[in-house]
Amino acid sequence: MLLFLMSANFLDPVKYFGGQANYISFWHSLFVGVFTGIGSKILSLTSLVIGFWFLVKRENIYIFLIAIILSFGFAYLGNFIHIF
Amino acid sequence: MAGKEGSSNSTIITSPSVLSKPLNLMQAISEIQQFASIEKNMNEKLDSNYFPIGARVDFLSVGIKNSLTHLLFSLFLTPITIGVLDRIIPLFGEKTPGLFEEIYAILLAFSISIGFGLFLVQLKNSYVGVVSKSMIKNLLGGLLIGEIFKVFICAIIYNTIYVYLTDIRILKFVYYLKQHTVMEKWHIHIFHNYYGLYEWILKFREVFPLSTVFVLLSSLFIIVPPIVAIMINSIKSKKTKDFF
Repeated sequence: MLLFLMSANFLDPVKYFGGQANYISFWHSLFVGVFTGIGSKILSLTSLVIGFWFLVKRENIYIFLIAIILSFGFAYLGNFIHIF
Repeated sequence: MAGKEGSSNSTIITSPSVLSKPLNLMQAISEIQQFASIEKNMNEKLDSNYFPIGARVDFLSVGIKNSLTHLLFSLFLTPITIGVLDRIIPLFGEKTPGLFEEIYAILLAFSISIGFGLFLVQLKNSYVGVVSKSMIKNLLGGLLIGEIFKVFICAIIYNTIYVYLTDIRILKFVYYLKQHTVMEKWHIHIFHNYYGLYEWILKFREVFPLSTVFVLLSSLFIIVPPIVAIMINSIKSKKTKDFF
């Protein structure tokens, strides 16, 4: 989260305006930060590693499945930015 | 059933079997582990009929059910993965995926299979007595049957889609969407126009034949690791027995 706040320059008000002075909502910025680029790569990879750790070390297949689904979500949900 | 014999207070268990019907993979593995721990500490071998035919079918069906549940994941996720590799579908919101994205897409597609394979590797420690061995064989047999079914079902569905999606049918579908102004109503900008959508579906159609091969590979990732681990463990234990 801290990384996202630093990378997105969270406190800068100009950040929330596009090139043609169109307001970009906070939720849109958050979505872009979490589901695209480096943010999504880190979150997806972390989720995958945590899933395998729980599977191998704790033998908990349910947490593994949840972590894998989260990993898929972080990897593919960013595509909606392009679709809509 | 419990009852009193004469004047003594001892409880006699008259149940024919302590085996309960496993409903899922976790319960089946738990039961195998319990029996393995009992059989490890026994001096005499249990009779093979202690694991009766009904219980064998239960273990077999758990394996089949587990594989068929996995079918849903494979059916939807495999074409998406091939789509990423063919640069039709973006990953991490990037339209042109690099080497990392391609490797990661493959890893994600196989992650569930690799995970199940690794999870089943723990059965190697339970492959000890007559009953435990029979339980493991039936469970893995069920998984194998289920995986073969899975590959066949996926192959049939993918090939049906590939054959059904002809140029004319895609054109008709896109024309129908255009008539109902779906892209304008839903604000879909990615394809720019309806011709872009038509081209995208044509490209995506080519993903399906290769998807069958990927499903086959993912099935191997589930079945091969536990079998190899059990074989290695058996060879090692035989060598140790010969040594002492």
